[in-house]
Amino acid sequence: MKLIIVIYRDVFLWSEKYKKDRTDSWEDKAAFVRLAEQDLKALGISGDGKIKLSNSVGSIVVRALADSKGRSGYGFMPVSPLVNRLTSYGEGRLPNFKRIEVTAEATKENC
Amino acid sequence: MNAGKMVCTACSCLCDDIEIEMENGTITGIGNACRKGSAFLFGSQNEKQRAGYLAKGREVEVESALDAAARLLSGARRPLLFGLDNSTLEAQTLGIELARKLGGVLDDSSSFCHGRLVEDILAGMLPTCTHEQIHDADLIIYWGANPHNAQPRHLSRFSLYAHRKYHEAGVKRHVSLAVVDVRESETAGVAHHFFRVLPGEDRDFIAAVIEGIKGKPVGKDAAEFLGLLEKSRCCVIFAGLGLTYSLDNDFSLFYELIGHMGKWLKPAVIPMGGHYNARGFNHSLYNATGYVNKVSFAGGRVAHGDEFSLLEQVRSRAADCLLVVGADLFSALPASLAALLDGVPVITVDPFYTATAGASTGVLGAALSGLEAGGTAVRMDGTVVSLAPVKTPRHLSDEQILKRLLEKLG
Repeated sequence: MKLIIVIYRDVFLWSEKYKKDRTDSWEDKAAFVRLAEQDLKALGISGDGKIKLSNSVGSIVVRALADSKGRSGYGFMPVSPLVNRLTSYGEGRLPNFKRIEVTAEATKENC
Repeated sequence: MNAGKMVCTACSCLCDDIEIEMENGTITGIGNACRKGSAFLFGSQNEKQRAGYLAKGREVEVESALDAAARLLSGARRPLLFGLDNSTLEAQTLGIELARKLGGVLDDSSSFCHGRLVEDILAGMLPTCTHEQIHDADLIIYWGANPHNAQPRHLSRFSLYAHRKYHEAGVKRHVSLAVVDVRESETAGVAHHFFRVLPGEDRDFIAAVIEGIKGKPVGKDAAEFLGLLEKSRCCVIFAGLGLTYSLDNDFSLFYELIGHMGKWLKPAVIPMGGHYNARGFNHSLYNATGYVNKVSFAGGRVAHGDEFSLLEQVRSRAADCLLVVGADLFSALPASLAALLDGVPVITVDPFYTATAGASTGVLGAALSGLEAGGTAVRMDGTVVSLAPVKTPRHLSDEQILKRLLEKLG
């Protein structure tokens, strides 16, 4: 399935960066994408499913979460180094932080 | 013991009512701060997270780290200084002087964030106002911005809930909140009106509203948005990165809309900067060179252009040494772009041990502005705010570090 990923800021994740008792990395905590319920269904993902997002730049595996207010065809991921494995920059333009085209598929791979 | 009030530098709100409780030099309580601010301030006491002084990856004394950094910079033929958005105005002035002395390139995150808007505000091309003037507004719009996450106290301290005429329950609403965004965000959840635009479709939405202003038939959302504008006499738009990125930094159509609005209402635009003194950097560099970012001092002259942006400098592998002050490039940039810095010596000045510090040849840990170091900064609305530290620093401030580097470079 083709998806467009949009990066957003998440105050909870931002705060994680500074936690004293942090055991897992910020990147691990940011390993999720919020998708419209109908897209999750179309991908055959339910519960705590994983999704592989790939494009010409790279690929990542993240948890797929349902977004009851989401719009089909679009996914939302928090700002982190993880999602930057999918972003790119072309001369004279801004990086595609707000419009990352990917192919999405359900996976059993680990995040 | 109450150590008094301080200014939080976790974001561009620069909240000046943060109450700090301390015992034996350690923060034990924080009042009034948001989740972001309290995590930032408490996090500053986590020694594992703080940056020390490193040279070639080894821990050294501060003097040795400064010497090593100065050697790298003086030996560079095409040095690039990036950042300073999380530095005081005083440190920014020294940073500009350092870039000038080195004949290097100077840029900050505004070249891919709010720089264009701030430049046009400084040039008098775009109407703006301060947070204090927001009480005149009857319509507040967050466009491509979600302060709930990025500037968590913005609504309560500076906009809707701080508005003198705001009443939670009343027969007549004196101020309305509208959100234009790709996502039904938390801010959209408390707004009176929400307009969803899909990624990259802000331009179409703006064009439709302009068509409506000209009396042509338009869709439901554009018509409703226009209806709000037509009823307004004073409208403040908080412009977020969503707008900048959707328009790919070309605001001409947005300015056309602002121009039309100016015929019957008083419009104002405030860019929702992220870093606490990003706007201050734009002001400092504008005052020094006439440009807000993307400047080269090579050959003793000031030049400006896209080729001097961080993104282009990295893409074209132009820089042979990078001084990063208060920015985490290796987290923020596309990984494919950051990989092009492989082999380029990087010196990082930062209070925290970031991914960029981890990839650096030299690290100069700095005091945390507001908490451990003083100075002045420019809030997102252009207001100058004084920072008075409440804690004794263990590190040099970024101002002191840049001053020492300038001295060592002669």
